[in-house]
Amino acid sequence: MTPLLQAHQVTKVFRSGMTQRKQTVALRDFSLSIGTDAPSIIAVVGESGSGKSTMARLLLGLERPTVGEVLYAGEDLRTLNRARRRAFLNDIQAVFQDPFASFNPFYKVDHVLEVPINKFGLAPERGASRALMEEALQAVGLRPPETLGRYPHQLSGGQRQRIMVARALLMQPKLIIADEPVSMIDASLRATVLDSLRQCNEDFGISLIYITHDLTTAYQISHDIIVLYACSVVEAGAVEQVVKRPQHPYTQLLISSIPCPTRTASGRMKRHRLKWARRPDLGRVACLHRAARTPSPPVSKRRPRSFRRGRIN
Amino acid sequence: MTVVTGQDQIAAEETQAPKGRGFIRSLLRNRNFAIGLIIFLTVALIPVFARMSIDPATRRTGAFPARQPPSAEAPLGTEALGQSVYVQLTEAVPNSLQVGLIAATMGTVLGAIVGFVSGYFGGAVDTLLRISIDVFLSVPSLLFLVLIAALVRGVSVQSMALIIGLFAWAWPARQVRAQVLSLKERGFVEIARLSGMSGLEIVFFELMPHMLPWLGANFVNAFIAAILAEAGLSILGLGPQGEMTLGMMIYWSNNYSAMLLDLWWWWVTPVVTLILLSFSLYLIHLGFDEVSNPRMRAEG
Amino acid sequence: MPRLVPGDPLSAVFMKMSEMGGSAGIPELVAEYKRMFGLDQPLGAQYISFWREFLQGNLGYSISIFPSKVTDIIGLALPWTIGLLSLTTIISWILGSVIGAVVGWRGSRFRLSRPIVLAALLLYTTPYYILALILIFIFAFQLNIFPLSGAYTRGATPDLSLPFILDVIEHGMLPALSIVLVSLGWWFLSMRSLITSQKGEDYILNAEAKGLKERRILWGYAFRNALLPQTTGLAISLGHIVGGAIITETIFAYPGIGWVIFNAIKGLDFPVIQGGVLLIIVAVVVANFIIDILYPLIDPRIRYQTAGGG
Ligand SMILES: Nc1ncnc2c1ncn2[C@@H]1O[C@H](COP(=O)(O)OP(=O)(O)O)[C@@H](O)[C@H]1O
Ligand SMILES: [Mg+2]
Repeated sequence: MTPLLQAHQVTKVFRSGMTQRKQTVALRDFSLSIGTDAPSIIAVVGESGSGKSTMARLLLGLERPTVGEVLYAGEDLRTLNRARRRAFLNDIQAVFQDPFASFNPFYKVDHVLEVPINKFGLAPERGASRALMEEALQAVGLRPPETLGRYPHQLSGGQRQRIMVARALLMQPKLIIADEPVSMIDASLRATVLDSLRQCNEDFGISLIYITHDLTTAYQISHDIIVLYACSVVEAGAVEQVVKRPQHPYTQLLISSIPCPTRTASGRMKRHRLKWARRPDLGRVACLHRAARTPSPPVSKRRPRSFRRGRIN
Repeated sequence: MTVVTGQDQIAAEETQAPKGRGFIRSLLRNRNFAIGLIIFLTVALIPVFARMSIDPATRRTGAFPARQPPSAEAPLGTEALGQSVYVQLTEAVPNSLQVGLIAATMGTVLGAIVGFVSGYFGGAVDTLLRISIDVFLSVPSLLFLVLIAALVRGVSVQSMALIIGLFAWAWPARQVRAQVLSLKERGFVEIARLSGMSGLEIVFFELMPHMLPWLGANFVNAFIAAILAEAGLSILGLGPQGEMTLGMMIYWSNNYSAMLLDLWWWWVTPVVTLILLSFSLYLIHLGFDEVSNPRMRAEG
Repeated sequence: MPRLVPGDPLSAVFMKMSEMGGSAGIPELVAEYKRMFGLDQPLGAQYISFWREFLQGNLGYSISIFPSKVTDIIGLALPWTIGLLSLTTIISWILGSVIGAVVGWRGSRFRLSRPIVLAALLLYTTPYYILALILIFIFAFQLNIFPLSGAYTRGATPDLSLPFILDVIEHGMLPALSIVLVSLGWWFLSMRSLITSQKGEDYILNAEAKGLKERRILWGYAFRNALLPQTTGLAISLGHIVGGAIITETIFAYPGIGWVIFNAIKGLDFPVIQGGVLLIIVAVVVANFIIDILYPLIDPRIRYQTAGGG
């Protein structure tokens, strides 16, 4: 059976400068295949600037690959006709990093839910539209009366991001690509958003590409993991495999820099995996998050240490 | 080639401006806007309405004794050919306003379209449009207006407005383009695309609302510029000879040496009207700017 | 471009000649003139030859003031325009910037700032030519201080003697004043708003906290920072300034480029129109280009932006 979404040796180069001569490689030789059979969660981990967002935008057809192709049900995204493009959008949706920028400040939050309902004819009649919106909001744990009819700046980041999840959910997609969905949200509210994403997968059978710079949440939520470093995939595989026996120095560094007991007591962590979001010790995610966000040292400084570690292991 | 200065970027940034009906309410509460509107309406509407109530017989030359200072019959005096300056004003103001209206509409609409197309769709079209915007901006448009108005002899009020409008699109185009470039990077544009909106729908429903206050302010600006450009051309003798505009009033008063003959009411009337129109419209423009861009309000 | 427009330039000249009593319409003369001005060739050829000559610095002959070369006419006019424009622009830019900085810095603490701002607004919103008319009325008609038009007393021979220079200054006063006053208003408003927006910046508060003298903070920090955008403003409005100057020159019959072009337009003197317009356009475009190139060198915040791509 043809996979739902497939990236085939995709490379993206941005040109900039006055004469377009300055080139930035944002993603190099990236391949990925997501099937339709069983809903899965794939985490994509990498530091800032490693090409994660570029990958997401390529997969969503918001950016065109410089080399290679992205296929939706075997068809190149660039050659989709109107009907196929509709089907593509219906099947593949996204949640972006910045929950404030995702809303047009000119409209009430209802707008982001109304547009897909109208554009895709999701509601059989007018009255059903409202019911549909309320249903989607409830599914992500929001109370419709407290959300609908408000402007984006009247809601918290967590609420806004959950509305974005509800928006994706409305379309009943087969895949949601979530680009760092919690990195711009208060630590205390992250759990709610991650929880609703996890629900999409567990309760609604939607596959998830979860992009993050935070290995801990990646480990907790995902089945498979892809590690991006300097715009290339340096490691990919089942999450247990990668965390237990990391091959690439960067991955080893990532894992070694997790300061919490979870690293050694991986058994304990495993027990928590499905319930992680509701645990009070989630505050720890914040501390990990900070560790991951400190500006990455230059590679030359970092390599020796990680290589040494590699030898010891 | 476009140099983007820090200022441009500030202008392109989005700020929390009031929306919809709230916008109009804060406009009316803005002092500059309110004062400007009152002056403008007074200066603009009185002649427009007075025109309807004026006896057509008083319009012809020689209807009054020539060169008389203001009196009960001719509240603003009479000119060298025995026409009431007041009657002339009731024809000139609507005509000048018409020039402003046509030219500003043309410039703003054309500019908005060019700016949106250039900024949103990019590519070769953008390169081409950007170059023409820069050329139009850096070349002294008044010079071209003088040239065109001189070559198209026998202009009417409307053709004059069209000529002026042809040069009014570059500035809004440049500003709209800069704003679109910054707006389209914002997440909600991508969300709209993922929600199935087409490029045109995104331009109209997602981007346009952000530009409306700015386009409104620009419209007012272009309106002033067009009225003044008409006056400038007319004073040089390049205006609509058969019709009366504020510029033509000044032209004729000059032509008949009103200053030398001490017929001050003749030339002071159009001059003061022009200054009041220009000043009040600028206040309205300022008010628009302050309300749509709260960052500026601190300047007081 | 001017030649693509209907209206045979030669017929206008012959009209003039016949008005002066000459015998118009002698066919040989017409043919001779046409050959001289290249009007017998097709438009395309006229165009190419014009550009070839233009690049060699040859703008051809004037039609209405016949034996004179266009370059000579423009060469005579250019110093007046350059002198008037550069002086007035520099004076108003400096004056406006300095007053704007002081008023902007003192803000509402300064009692005169309100009337000054109002005056600047009025000046700025008044077009050059209106102000010119008002100045003419006050100074030339009522007070009789300054002459009405021209750049020097008619009949005086231009030289570098003191009386002639004084004569030139006297004649230049009104046109200069009308340009200075209007642009002064603009530079004032622009600098005032720049300084006002700088006042809350961290580096200013920092300097205040360090106990630096207020005068030093204003001129050494805020003013210096505001100078850059203020200079950009100058670059952007160059075309506008030149355009305004044309009208001002026309009103005062000041013998600069604007006056020459205006008269050429009236007389359908296409070589002069072409030469003058092209010269101004080339000058403005070159000036803009130079500023474009220099700017990133001065200000690291300026980037060259590439469009599209996304
Ligand atoms: N539109 C763009 N133009 C130029 N360079 C870009 C653009 N988008 C991303 N890049 C570059 O591509 C690289 C990867 O960026 P991104 O995908 O945003 O990384 P991440 O999401 O992992 O932080 C970065 O070096 C970034 O500077
Ligand atoms: Mg990113």
